[in-house]
Formats: sequence, C-alpha cells, structure tokens
Amino acid sequence: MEKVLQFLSGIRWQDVVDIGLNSYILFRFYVLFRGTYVFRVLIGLTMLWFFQQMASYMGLIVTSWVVQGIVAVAALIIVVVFRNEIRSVLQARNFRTILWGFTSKTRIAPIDIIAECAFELARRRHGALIVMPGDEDIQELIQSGIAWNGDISREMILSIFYPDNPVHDGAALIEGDRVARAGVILPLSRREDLPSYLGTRHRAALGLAEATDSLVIVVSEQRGEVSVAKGVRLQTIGSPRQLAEELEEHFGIADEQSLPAKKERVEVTTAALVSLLFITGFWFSISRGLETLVTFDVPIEYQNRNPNMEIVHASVNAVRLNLSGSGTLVKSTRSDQVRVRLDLSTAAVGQNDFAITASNISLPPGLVLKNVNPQSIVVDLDVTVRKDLPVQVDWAGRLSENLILAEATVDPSRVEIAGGKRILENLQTIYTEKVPLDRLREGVGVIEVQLAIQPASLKVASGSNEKVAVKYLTRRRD
Amino acid sequence: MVRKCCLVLGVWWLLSFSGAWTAQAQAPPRGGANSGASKLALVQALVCEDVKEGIPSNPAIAFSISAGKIYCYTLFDQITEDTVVYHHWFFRDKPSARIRLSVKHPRWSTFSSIQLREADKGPWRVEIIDAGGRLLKNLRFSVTD
Repeated sequence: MEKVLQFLSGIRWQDVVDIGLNSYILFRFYVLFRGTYVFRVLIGLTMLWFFQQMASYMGLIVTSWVVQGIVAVAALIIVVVFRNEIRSVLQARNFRTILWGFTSKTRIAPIDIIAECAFELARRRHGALIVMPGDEDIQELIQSGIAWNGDISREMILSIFYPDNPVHDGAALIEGDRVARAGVILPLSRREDLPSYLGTRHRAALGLAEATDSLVIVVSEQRGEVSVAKGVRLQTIGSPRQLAEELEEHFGIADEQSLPAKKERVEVTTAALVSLLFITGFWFSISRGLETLVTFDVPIEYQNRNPNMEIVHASVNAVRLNLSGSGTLVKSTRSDQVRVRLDLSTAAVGQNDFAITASNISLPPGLVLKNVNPQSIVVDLDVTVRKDLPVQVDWAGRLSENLILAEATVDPSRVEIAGGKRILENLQTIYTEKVPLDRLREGVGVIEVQLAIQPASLKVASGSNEKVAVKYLTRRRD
Repeated sequence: MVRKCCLVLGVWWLLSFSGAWTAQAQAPPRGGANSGASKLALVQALVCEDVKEGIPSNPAIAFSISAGKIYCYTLFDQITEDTVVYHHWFFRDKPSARIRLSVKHPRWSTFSSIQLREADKGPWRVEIIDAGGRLLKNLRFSVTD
C-alpha cells in the first residue's frame, strides 16, 4: 500500500496531462477513421509492432529485424496509398468535427416514409422488394444491382419501382437513411411448402430472409398486398402503422433510445477506455521502465553578460551531470537537450562565485537530476578595452653556426588588442608564434608569422591582422 | 686585506653566476667639454655577444644559450654633465635586472650584461632609460637553443 502511495505521489500533473492528451488523440483517430480501411491497416500495423517487440524481447533477431522493416515500410505505404482517405477526413470535416465532434456510424432509416411508400406502391399495383439488412453481411448472397446512394424519399422509392424503370424488377437495398443499391437480385427460397400463388418476388424475399437476419418488404403486383419476410416467416401487413412497427422491431428501436445508439455508445466508450489503457501502458513503459543512470558533460552557457565585460577565466568550462530516468528516455536523450545556463546579469568585474543548482539546468521531461559536479564555479570578469601593443618575434631553434641574425623588422610593428582591462594593463608586448631559426637563409628574407595571443580571452581588434610579415637579415659571423 | 678581497670576489662571482648583471664603464673614445646641462644623446644601442676594449662584437637579435653571456652596449654623445642611465632587462615582459650605469661628459660608452641560464630561452628586451626616466631605446632580441 505504501509503495502504491509512493508511486502515485511520484506522478506529476504534467504526466496526467501527457497521458490524457495522447489518449484523446488516439481516441480521435479511432473516431475519425473508424470504418475505413485506414483504421484496419493501422490496427494491423500496431499488431505488427507488438509482434516485433515480442520477437525482440525473445531474442529472435531475424524475425525482429524483418518485422521492423515491414513496419517501417508499411508506415510509408499507408501515407501514400491512403492519402485520399486521410485527406478527405482532414479536409471534408470542419475543425470542430476533427477535435471533438462525433459522426454517428448508425443512421436509422426513415421508417414512416418506407411504410407509406410500400402501401402507396401496393395501391398502385407496382411490385416492389425492399431489403433492410440486419447485422449480418449480405454482400455474398445478393447479386448485380447498380449503386444508387440516394437519400430515401417518397418520390425516389416510387420511381425506383415504377414499371417502366429498368431496375424496378430488382430489390432496393436500404443502408441507414440511404438507398445503397437498386435492381439487386436476391437468392430464391428453395422451400416447397410455400403457397402456389406466391411468385418469384416473394420467393426472393424469403430466400434472403431465411439466409440472413435481414427484413425484406414485398409488395405484390397482382394482389396489391404488402408482406414482410423475416427469417422463415412471411407475414401479410395490413396497414402502414403495422409495417412501421415491424420495421421498428427489426431495427430494435425502443420507446426512447435505440439499440444501435446504445451499441454505438458502448463501442465509443470501449474505444475511449482502450485508448486510455494503451497510452497509459505505453507511457509507463517509456517513463518508468528500468531506471538507468547516465552521466553528461555539459558545457556551461553564459547568459545576460554585460556587453562591456568579458569572461577572462572560468574555473571550469563544463559540468558533469548525473541523471536518472527510464532506459528508453535516457537512450533517446540528445546532448543538446541537456543544458546548463548561468545568468551573468548580476556579475561584477573580478571573480564571481556561482552555485550550479537545478534552476540552472534544463532537462528533457522524465529525467531526474541526481548530482552536479562541481557544484559551484568561479567566473572572472573584466571590462573590455583596447590596447595598441608592439609585436616581437619569438625566435626559436638554432641558427647555422656561421650566421648571425643581425636585424629584423615586423610589419605591422604594432597591433591593437581587445580584451580584459586587468590583463591588458600588465601586457607590454605581443609575441609571434615561435619562428624556427634553422629555416632562415643567408641574406635578406621575408616570412609571414602568426601572432600568439595569450591568454585566449584576448583578441586582435577588428582592423588588425593576426599575421605579420617579418623581414630579416642574416650575415656571416666575424 | 686578503679577506676583503676574497669577499668582494665572492660577491662578484655569485652575482655573475646567478644571471645578475655586471656593469662596466670605460673612458669615452674622445674627450669633450662639460656644458653643465643634464642632457645626452643616444648614438648607438645594441645587444651583442661580447664587448672587447669598448668595441661590441657580433651584434644580433638572436643569441644561442651556449653564448653564456650577452651584452647591451650603449654609446652616448653630447653629454652636458655627468649623469646616469639605466639598462632595464625584461624577460617575457617581466623585469629581470635593472642596472644603473654612469655616463660622463662629453661622450661615453657603457654596457651591461647578463649571464644566461637554460630557463632564459625566449623573447627579451632591454629598455635604455635616462636619469629622468625617459625611454631612449627599446632593444628586442631572443635567446634560443
């Protein structure tokens, strides 16, 4: 119990927001893409990823490698192949729909219109077959037909079954509030106990009803009767009200709340819970799994330095940070994500002591600072000034025994140096880098030499050159 | 008397061995009248390997440590009255020796020297300064292998 409390107390409000936000994003993906091929492929990819993780955990090297390759390529393929579906989801819907709107998957057919149309067709002695699918898939049982995809209206149904219409002999397939197909051919019932006066239309209605959980409305052309085929039952319907009740029963519409709506609500709630559980598990596997210690050597960044001052010397240039976090987080942490910043706005000329605290250190979320070394640094600041100094050649090595280096002139003979006032006050000469004497030949020569400016905090002022030309004269010894 | 002589010789040897200075003055090449004003003109200033009989030999700007000793030679003219000059030796801009030398009316040459040690390799300079502290010349040279 104590461990659980300790564990819960370690969760920050940012973690709760993190889990909540990502759960919602996953849930919204489900809401936006459910029913599409994209969603099915995404589920497939997720399963492949789990398979890869399992293979990796079990040490199946080649399997893990192959699945990883498939997942990597599949992620690319899904974007290319399903770009139209993704675009239609993101473009066709408004911002509100994408963020929090719900589009009902189940749409209820307008029962009253269908019931009235059936009796109007019967009155006109126009034969009709109207299929109301249930939960079972009927695609393998029906044949032919043409895609219609029109909103249900009285005029549309009457026109489909108008005798001169080419599709009037087939059945109309109702999906939700739309006529999905017309002129559909249904399988015929093979029952032998049916009355002889029932024609092909009634046998077709019973053929589909027997094989599936669909309800089929049949309008008899000869007798002007409306019947309903459901299961093995063929029932003659006396009034639009009775037909409407049959349809309501078929669609499971209760007094106030429909079953499909309930089913959808359960489905959405389940999806939300699965999203939450999935992200929570994923979050814990990343942020709490396998505590790992790591050490970073981080260079110190100085901020808010007075532009008139410069750092002459710092006791250290980098600090060593001991960090802990989950192995996944530690592995994915880049060195540029860990920073140590020192605010020099309060610093004065001379030596300044600064303590390195957590407020100076920025870490990626999930990593915890365990130790800092050193815990304080000394920064020596000075006012920046310029000073004109003579240049002297720093000869080194050994000249040939019979030669003497008689003269040398430096061009330019003086350079302007910028740097800390206290350093420049004690500096009288700028030396060149060491110039080896054994390179000199007898007579006059010119060599180009780099200045050796020490300490490193000093710089050649703008306008001065960091190289000088040395013209020398050697002569034979007396 | 012998003890005094030994003491003087000992001090001289110590100063010479530790890289301290020696200073010598000698009679000017030519005589002249004393004008009574404390002025002088630096005619020649150089660093050389040796000074023999008042004449500098092998003046240069780079000297091997094997030379053992180097000299700063200065020649003054138009000296209005007896005065002093200073040879201020610097190694890497840090004072190494400050030698006070007498100069006499009307023309005078004088020199100072340092004993070289292994640690003396590097850039040197000698400031020639008159009695009033005026910088007359800055000689730059190096001690090398």
